[in-house]
Amino acid sequence: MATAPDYKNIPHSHRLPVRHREVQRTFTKLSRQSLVSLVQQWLSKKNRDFCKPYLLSDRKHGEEEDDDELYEPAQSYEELQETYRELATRKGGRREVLDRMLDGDWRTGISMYQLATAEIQYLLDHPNALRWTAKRLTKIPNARSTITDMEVTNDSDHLPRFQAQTFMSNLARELTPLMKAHYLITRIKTSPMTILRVYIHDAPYSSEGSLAVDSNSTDSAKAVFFVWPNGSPFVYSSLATLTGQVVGDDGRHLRDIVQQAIPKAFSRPSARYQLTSTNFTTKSLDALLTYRGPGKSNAAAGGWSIFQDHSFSQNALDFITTQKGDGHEKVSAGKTAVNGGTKAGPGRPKRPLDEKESSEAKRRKEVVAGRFGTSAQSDDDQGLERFEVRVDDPFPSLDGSSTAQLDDNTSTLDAQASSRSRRGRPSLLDRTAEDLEEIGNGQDWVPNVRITFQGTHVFAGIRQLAEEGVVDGEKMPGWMTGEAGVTIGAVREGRMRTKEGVPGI
Amino acid sequence: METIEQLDTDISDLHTRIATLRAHRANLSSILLSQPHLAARLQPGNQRDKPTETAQRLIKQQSARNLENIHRACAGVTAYKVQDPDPHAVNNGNILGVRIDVSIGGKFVETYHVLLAFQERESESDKVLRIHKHTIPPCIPLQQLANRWLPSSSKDVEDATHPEQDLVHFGRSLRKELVGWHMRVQAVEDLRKEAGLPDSRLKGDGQDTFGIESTAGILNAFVSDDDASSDAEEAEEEEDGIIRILDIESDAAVRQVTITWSDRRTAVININKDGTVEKAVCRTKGGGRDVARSRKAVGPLRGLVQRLMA
Repeated sequence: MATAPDYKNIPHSHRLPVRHREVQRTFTKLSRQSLVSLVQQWLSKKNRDFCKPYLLSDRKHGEEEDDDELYEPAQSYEELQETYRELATRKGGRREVLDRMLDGDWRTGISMYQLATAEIQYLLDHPNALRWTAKRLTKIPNARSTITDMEVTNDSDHLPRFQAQTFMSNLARELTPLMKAHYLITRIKTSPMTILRVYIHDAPYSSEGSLAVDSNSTDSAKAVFFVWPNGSPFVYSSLATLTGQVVGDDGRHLRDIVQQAIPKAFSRPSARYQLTSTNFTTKSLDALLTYRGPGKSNAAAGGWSIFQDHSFSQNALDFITTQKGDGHEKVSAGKTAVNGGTKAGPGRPKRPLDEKESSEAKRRKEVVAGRFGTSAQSDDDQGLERFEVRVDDPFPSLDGSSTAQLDDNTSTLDAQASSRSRRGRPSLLDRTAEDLEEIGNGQDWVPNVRITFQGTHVFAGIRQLAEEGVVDGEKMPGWMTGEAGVTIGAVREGRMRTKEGVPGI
Repeated sequence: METIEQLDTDISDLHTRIATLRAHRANLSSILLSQPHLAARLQPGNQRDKPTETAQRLIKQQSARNLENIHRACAGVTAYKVQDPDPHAVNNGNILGVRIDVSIGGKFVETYHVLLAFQERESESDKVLRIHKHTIPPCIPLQQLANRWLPSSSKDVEDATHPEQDLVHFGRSLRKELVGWHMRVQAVEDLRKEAGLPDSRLKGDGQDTFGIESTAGILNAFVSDDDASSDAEEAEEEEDGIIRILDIESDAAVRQVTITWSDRRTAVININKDGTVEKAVCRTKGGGRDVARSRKAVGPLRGLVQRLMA
């Protein structure tokens, strides 16, 4: 049913049929507890208008009572609330609640609001479900106001101000001529962030009927997430869809439009913003909040983490030193026990050997603790899955003759490398013309070396390797501890190259 | 006969007792070690036995700590040296740390660090300080302060080819920003207490057992086209006659505070860094501006609730 094209957003209350693919995909993933708590949210008074259930009063007069109706419609909201409260206390399968919701109380359809809250609920239940890219909102320098921008006065403001209402109306104004979309922006109580979900509907109509049409292409839609950590200039965007969904060019294009509209919606006259890359991509929202968050940890990653928790400096009024001394005594006591243990005799022949090894291991552990501080623990939920570096250092030459030989080969190798990189998608790690010029200035051969670390928690893995002695904890370069705070970058002179300016802002 | 529960409580009682006694002992020993001239009195002649050496070591440790703490407590901004373990670090890994201790209400609440590395200036022989790592939250304008007081290249400051670096001024202004921020946070906490609201730092701890409160408030309920609906909920709130403050919330930098009353009045307030209310917009329940009240809100942040309730 095609109505006339219009210039409206999709309102919260528009409904999708329960058999719609998006509805099915979202709701089948949620746990029983999440489903019940969602329903209770929907049925609370302020949300009822967006989440109308099918009640007995909705049954049209004269309509035959269906005999094979599984779920009797409830009389009132209160009854429904009671039903779900009871479901919450009872143990049972997820399916029971899900069927009741989709076939019973919301048989007439799931509203856009419900779909959005359900997806956000899933995101909160599974904080590693999506891949996020952290971007920074930076002010575009203005020729006239550069001096005032740099000043710190009593009322200066250096962060973009986030006002939800203004931002939303600006964003809608940017996007409505291009696409129809449903927006849901919400603050999260448990963690310091604001989530925006944009459901892209690629049609000129904002009517309920056009929403229900299940388009044939697999990638048309759907949701894009943006997260603002409170009190920081960062934005995390997730352009990837939930696991397993392949995104084609059309979908990617629509998402890029949304992403481009974000800084415009933030901008005011004489304060224009743009999104810049921060070389950080991960699946873990916790890691994002640590490396690009509102707190103290942004520019103190890796071994510097001791400065952000209180393991380095005690409270200025804490004068007690002896408790630490106790710890040292225990260590030395352990060592004397080892010396005595060698004479212990036939009873435990293996133990002294272990202990001897462990003194070496203990030294390694101490070195590693110095390099990694309190970071990179395998159970800290801050795992980065992928870490890529390009090494821009000249090849270490052994003596004069061998470098001359290598120089001859450089041209062919470079040609090979360039032809190889042209085949795939251009990587962020490809050297730019600027980089090549800088490298070319030196006389040495600079091979194009790239290293990729992959795993569930890359830096915890490196820490473990260093503890086992596989990686030399003392000679290991600093970027291997994760202190650079990026997931992709170039290394020069053994250090991660960074932009000018203060790190982590 | 003692039950298992009794034994358990006994054990936990003993554990707490051990802990307090340990703390007491640590306290006493640090007092003893801080005695003046203790080191001299413990040195009878030149006999070098192990207990004396240990004692001397402990005394040295304690007096170092005492000196450090006194400096920290009195100065607020202190400097120290650390070693960067990275074998490729600039300037052999020599790092100058600047530590800022923030105290609020007779307590040191937080310590911040800025770690600076010396770096060769391009095409020049002298060295400049550059911020290497830091633990300053992003709501503090560190970049701007660094540009102002620690310019590293001539492009940061116009018409000056050799910009001077002023670490003292940098530390002083950074401390001012940090303390101001903490005091604003504290002031908003006090306002919340005054209005009878729970401490926002404890929010979300207990009530979240069911997950029902995980999303706080949908901020764009207005986007929906049918907004004839949202009036229904407040009707009963007013009937109990008592108007109270539902929420006082602020952004992370505490530059903007929003107050919501139970009768749908709202106030949005802009705060300067020194904690004075600069601008305020109060709205009546219908959404109209309440000019008189807005004017009343301007002033110091303390007592804001009283001014607005009056």
